[in-house]
Amino acid sequence: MLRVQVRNICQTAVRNAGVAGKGKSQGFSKPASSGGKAAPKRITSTTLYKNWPNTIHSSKLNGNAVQVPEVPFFNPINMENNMDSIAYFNDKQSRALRHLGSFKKGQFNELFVRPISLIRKDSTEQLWKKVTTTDSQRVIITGESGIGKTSLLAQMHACAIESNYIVVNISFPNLFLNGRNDFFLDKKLMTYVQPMYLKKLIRKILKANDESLLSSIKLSNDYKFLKTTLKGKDDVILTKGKNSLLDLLSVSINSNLRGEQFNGIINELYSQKKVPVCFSVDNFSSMLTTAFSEYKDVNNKNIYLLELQMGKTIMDIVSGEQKLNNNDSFVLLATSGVDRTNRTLPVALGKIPADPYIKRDIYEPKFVEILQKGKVEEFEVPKLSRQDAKNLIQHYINAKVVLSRDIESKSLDELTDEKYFMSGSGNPRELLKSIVLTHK
Amino acid sequence: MVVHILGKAFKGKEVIRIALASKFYGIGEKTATKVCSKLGFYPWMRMHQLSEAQIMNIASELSTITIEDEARAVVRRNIALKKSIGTYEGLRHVLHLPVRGQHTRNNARTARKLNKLERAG
Amino acid sequence: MLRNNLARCLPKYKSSIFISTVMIPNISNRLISIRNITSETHNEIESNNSMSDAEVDKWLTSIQELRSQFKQSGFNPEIDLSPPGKGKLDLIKETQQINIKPFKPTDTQIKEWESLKNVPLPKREDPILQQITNIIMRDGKKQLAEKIISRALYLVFLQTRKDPINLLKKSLDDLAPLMIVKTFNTGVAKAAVIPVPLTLRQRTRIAWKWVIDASKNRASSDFAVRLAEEIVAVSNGLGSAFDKRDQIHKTAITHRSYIKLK
Repeated sequence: MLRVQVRNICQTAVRNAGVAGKGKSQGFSKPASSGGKAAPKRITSTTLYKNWPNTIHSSKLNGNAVQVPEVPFFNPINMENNMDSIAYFNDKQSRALRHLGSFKKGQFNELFVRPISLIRKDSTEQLWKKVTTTDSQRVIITGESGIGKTSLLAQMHACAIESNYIVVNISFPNLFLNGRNDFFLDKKLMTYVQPMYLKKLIRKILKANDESLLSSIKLSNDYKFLKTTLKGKDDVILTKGKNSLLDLLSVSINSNLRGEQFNGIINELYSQKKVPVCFSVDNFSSMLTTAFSEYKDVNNKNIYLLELQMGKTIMDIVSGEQKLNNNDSFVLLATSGVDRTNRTLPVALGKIPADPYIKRDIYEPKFVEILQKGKVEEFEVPKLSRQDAKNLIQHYINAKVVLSRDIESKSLDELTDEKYFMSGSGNPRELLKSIVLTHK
Repeated sequence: MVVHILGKAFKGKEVIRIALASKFYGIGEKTATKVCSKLGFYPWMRMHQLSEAQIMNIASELSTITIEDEARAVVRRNIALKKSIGTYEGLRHVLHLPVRGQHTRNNARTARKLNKLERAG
Repeated sequence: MLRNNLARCLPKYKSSIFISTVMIPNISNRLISIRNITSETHNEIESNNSMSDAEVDKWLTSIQELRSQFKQSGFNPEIDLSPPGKGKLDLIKETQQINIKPFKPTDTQIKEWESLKNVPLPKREDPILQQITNIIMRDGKKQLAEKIISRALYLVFLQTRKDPINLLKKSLDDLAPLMIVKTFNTGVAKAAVIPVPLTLRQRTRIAWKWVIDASKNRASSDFAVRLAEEIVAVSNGLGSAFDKRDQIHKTAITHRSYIKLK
């Protein structure tokens, strides 16, 4: 009994001694938190865990948007009815545009049931006429940030889809420049091929375009991919005149031959005369301003844009090296407001004189040569007129996105006056921002 | 998925370039990038994407570089040299004091911990 | 060529010439001569709006002479433009004298002013929004705070499809406590615990602080998204903040006998 007690005392003494030895921490060291690490936050299906731009873009928030009655569908064949009014893309167009990546985040599409588009005489119709009826086959869309370059490009895609064009869209060139996709040096093609990126791009072309249109194009060359299917068993042999472009697009082969497959697709698209092709590149300015990609070759030097297969293909199409055999085919390029700007584009468009002594980072003579060789013409997106702004605001009021304090205190004209001024005299993004994203 | 390179374990999700720089003494961001580009990896390739052959390649590539104990030995040798030729810097190392003219009235904890003839890290 | 230009240009600028003749009396002979010409031309412009060759010649010669003079001695406006007899001219004083024009409102302006005299100026900003923006503002970065609030309210709107500002005000009003107990030192042994009513600003502040605290438990790394989620929850009557409010109300009720009614 006594022994047990003694043992207990000893233990407490030892424990106390142990505690006494450790003093309170001094200085700037972190105080020991009571609960240790905070419990991880629970994420359920309804939790919003992304950052703001991704949250509003990807949480399907337009599900509970207000239906606006009597909004017409965009009819590119007969544009007159849509002129200077708001339109929806019909189901066929929307499906194609979604696959093409024509709708982007930051366009406030989550506000409405489906993406809206303002069809304008001085931009939509004029650009469509410019690329289809006049000689200009290569046009670059420019304009300030938020003016609607990407929206205009989407309208052009819709027009092209309805007019039975094959549409190929490179929606974000950074994807093959920023070094986040795999690559290898194809010894046969002597370029750097990016199989992961190409796989997605080929799928986009396949999904966005009409199957009957694709299958109507018969191949002009034989293609042999030996024992390179994903299972590694079968040979893929496509014969000239018998198989169609659809077959070439839909074969699934190993990544080591995907560069050849893509080259074949582009060659077939451009050598045929039957179906016109609409080739477009959004954010083209990111290509013009980053001549050297993030990828590195074996000598640890950054790889030049034209050494990448994607870069080379795009620039060949822009320069006219890759001939557009169908006379109706056209190439649309669009700059982006978020990209860095440099002097390459202004020099190529003849706006400022070239300075040969300037750094390559600021002025890339090769790209200028390419753009001038392709006779790339500029199309500047005009600002909204006051009437356009009024139409848009009327639609916003119908869709119930305008704050009630604005509706109650002001008439439509007063609101238009105020918001038109706030938008910097007709910048669509700023107009919408001043309505839905300015809570003061 | 864990990848082992020269006896070190890497998580599968780690970016090769960054993981190499952080795990090996004597390899920084620059050397790691060089190794990766020499072996043809893309900049944001991750550990789980490596094949066995590629892991072997990395190992053999790393064996040509002075890393880990060899790199530490170089530092020690340099300190020993400074000591042996009787420089002030060598003396400060021996005294466990800052080498480059810092004050010693307060602080100087790092120097007292690290500056030795047989420097650890 | 020059002559033609001059003849074409001058009528356009007749008002400016007129001002120069009036406001700057010249001293030197040549300047005086110019002045004469200008006044002549001015008259003529009034009648005819064009100049004869002789006058243009006069203009040109006097301009030439002036130029040669200025080339030698340089142009010094204080001396060259001063009237005869005076040494120097105080240009600032002169211009000030010219600029003083008595303002006389027209009848319509007076009428408009009368009609608008009793209309209060609309507030440029919403006081409650201002207050909550200022509460989340750190390091004086108001634009950033406004951006966070706007983004949060935009997300609230997208989720609820109601006017976000009204929703926020209503839910803050629901959440905020009406009374709070304060401890007063009476000087005697026992301190008095007295319920005190809160002003609108105080209530908003307490409720908003609770919202911010609760938003810390949300998953997103973006403050705007966390806030939005919390505002939506509060508008639905969810959240631990309502318990806090009820607790405060309960203590206030238990101490209601201490309320002093004058």
